[in-house]
Amino acid sequence: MSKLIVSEIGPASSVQDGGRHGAQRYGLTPSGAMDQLALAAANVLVGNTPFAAAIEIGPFGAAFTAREGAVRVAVAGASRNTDISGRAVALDASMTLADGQTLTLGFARGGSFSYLAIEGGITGEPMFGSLAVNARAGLGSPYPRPLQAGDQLQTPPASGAPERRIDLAAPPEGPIRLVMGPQDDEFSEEEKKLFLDSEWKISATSDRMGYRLEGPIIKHLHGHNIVSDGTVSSKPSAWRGRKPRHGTSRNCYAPCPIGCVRSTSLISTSRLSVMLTSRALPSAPSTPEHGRYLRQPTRWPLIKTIRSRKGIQDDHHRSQLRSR
Amino acid sequence: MVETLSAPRILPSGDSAITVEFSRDIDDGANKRVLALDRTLANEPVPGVTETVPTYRSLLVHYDPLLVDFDTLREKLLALANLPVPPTIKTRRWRIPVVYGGEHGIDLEDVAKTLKTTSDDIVERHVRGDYRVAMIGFTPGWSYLSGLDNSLHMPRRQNPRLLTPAGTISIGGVQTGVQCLAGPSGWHLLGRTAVRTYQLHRDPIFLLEPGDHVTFSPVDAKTFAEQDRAAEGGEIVAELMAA
Repeated sequence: MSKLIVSEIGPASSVQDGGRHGAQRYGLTPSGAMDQLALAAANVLVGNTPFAAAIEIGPFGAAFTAREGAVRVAVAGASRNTDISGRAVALDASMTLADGQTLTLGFARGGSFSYLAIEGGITGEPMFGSLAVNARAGLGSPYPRPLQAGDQLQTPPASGAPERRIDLAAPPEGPIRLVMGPQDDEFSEEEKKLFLDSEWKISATSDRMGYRLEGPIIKHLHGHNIVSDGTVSSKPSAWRGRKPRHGTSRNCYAPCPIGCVRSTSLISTSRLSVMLTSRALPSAPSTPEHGRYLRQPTRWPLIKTIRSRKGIQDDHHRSQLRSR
Repeated sequence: MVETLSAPRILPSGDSAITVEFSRDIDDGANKRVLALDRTLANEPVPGVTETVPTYRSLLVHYDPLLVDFDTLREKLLALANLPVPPTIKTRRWRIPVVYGGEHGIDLEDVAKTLKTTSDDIVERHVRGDYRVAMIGFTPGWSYLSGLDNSLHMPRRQNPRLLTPAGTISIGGVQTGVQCLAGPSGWHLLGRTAVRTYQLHRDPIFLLEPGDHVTFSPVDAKTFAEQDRAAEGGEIVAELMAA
């Protein structure tokens, strides 16, 4: 076995995968990668299954060193300065760290999360079928907590397979797409229009549990002390956008789900810079079309087509093309 | 007598989940229908449904939109929801020990003051209750119970606390609850139990199931401390009563 040593790492970095499904009825949230598309891209680049466990790296920098053998990795997600022992390398690509070499990632630019997938996956003990870290519930493996400098991840030695890269589409600009409901009838048409037509700023208090948005006051029709079984909630003073990764499985204390972020928009939402900067969001369309959205699921097709994207080409193949 | 059931509301919850809502309010009858539909879906799986989450008055049904579309699933759920509620399956009855008041239940005195009675009277009314697990959620093992005495219904706190202790027993609105992990809460804290409704490396990991019956029994602080040590070691501590 080779090892990947965490030499340096910022907060909000942990092992995540496709998530832990099936126990939401007991209050256990799925966890899993904030940006499932970037997770899948990184995994596929090193030949793993798309939702295998990888290292989710928060907005700050990180460094990883190969020990006791070469380690092949891929990084996808937020844009960052990246180098191997001082030599700049491209993101959204696989790379092999020789024994002793260090991969250094800078601060995230234009996003928050990056994914470092390790060829052969991360060795750990699955809990409810997942290695994803949920620190509050004491779950996650090999460490049930955010990663720290000095942590070691066991991994099979690098295969020596040709390196690959992927041209990921830029995160979509424009409004965050919602499906209104399930409790949008707790708001008047005027309040819903105000909600959809306003610009919202991501609060610095946002985290994996929720993006707190600052903007105009959206009033409930019947007060906020309503029945709690919701998902996206609105407080009298702020709208809380639900991020279903480390969120509460059921409800908040003063919830009123006005709408749910579309799966595809969750991907782009998770790419917004949250922890470092606050940024105004463009306004959302004022006439959401439930039915059309519901018949156009796009998250899974997006992920399922990664393997067949033209963007995936191994460097060996590219150089052959060039030499012709 | 054949009971006529009102059709539930089918509400989109994003592009891969449907809320089947049986009542606008917290309602025991609605909760029974929720749990019945949950059991139906467990016994006769509908293709494309990936996970169900029961709540007081609605069932959240997660689905894979590539396997089943919204309209098809809506029709299926409506048909299943309108089946007669099957007779209640055998449920379990738990007795959960609670140390009330003092440092373990810092809101007990205030609740008594607000309701113009004594702390002992509040405890007595809370212990007298015959509760049912209506849903589990918010954080792992947080069990919401129906059956709270009308006289104990109180609005939630204006300012939720960011951290309340593991094992907290509290009341909020028309509900009472057993909280497992330390975490935020806007409810009124009456006491604590050593019982872990969620504990890794114990069989079962989750102690309570939606539909289980629960009663509380008061214990003193010394007993609580002993039970807490036993529970830490993996003991269930709660008593399983004869049904």
